[in-house]
Amino acid sequence: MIRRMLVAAGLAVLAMAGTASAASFEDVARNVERRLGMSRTRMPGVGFLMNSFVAVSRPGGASSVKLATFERENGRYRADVFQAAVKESCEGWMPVVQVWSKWDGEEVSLYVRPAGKKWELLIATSEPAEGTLVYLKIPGRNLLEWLKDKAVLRKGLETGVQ
Amino acid sequence: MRTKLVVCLFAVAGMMAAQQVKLPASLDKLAEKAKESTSVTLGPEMLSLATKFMDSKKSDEAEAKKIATKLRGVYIRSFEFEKEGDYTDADFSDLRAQLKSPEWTPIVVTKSKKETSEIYTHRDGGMLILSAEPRELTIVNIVGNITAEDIGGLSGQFGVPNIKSTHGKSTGAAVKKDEE
Repeated sequence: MIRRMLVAAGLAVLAMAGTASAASFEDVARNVERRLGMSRTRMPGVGFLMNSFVAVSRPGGASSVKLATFERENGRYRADVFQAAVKESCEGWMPVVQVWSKWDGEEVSLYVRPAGKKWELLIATSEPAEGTLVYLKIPGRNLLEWLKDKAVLRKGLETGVQ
Repeated sequence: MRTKLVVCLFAVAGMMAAQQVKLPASLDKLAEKAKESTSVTLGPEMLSLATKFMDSKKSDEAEAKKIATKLRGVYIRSFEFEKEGDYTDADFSDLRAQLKSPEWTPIVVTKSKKETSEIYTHRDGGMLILSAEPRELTIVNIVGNITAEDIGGLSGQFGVPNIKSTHGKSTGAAVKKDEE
């Protein structure tokens, strides 16, 4: 009996340690899937294409990029529901920027966390037809440049939108 | 139960203390009128991390880095409108009412035909910058133990609007008046 309790306690501690650590891009995407009750759209080959593009053009100085897309099906979620799902899934990430665009119904949120001399960015974009999660890794100074100038910030966020 | 309530009250108080101004609900209505609205939140952790990437060899960044150590947060709300007249002073009158309280002291107020720039200092340290242009409204709350002189050093950094003196150099004391 005591042994079982100890094992249960140990598992609980491990589970707590797991939740306390920062969520990875995959964790966030999986949590969003679970919260929205739908799977992300699978696009074979897109990851390879995106990484090739990033390796050549380095948008926003990015060295790594990951993408997850959630297509809205028959009004299954609203844009704010998508953003709320991302926010609740982003443990260990700092929300820094939010942009709302009334006309195109677009909302963009930027979450960041440090990674050595770089920043890891998570850009969540919700449009009327779909929600997108983009992960980028950029040099430390680049984020400062994004924050200095609104036009640069917009261009950087567009990396996630496009 | 009582302990939980006390903990909740402290948590709420902590959240409210983050920003010195209570951004009124009218700003959300303003966001509905705006073509685009942006919110930037740089809390103490983010500021501390961001300063590590600043270049101390560059004079402007060295100064900003020094000042940033005294900051507890930079909070920015900005609204872009499609055309002139899409917003009026009445849209942020609630905010102005807060700035008239004894906690706030206006240190710079410049008004021209189309633009208004106002800087207020808070009794407990910190500042609020209000910049109103025909198609853009920006509200910046800098929380921390900073002085009027420091504002020049933060100018153009962390999303703080670029404030230039009449001599073309950034200072906190003298702000250029746009006569156009």
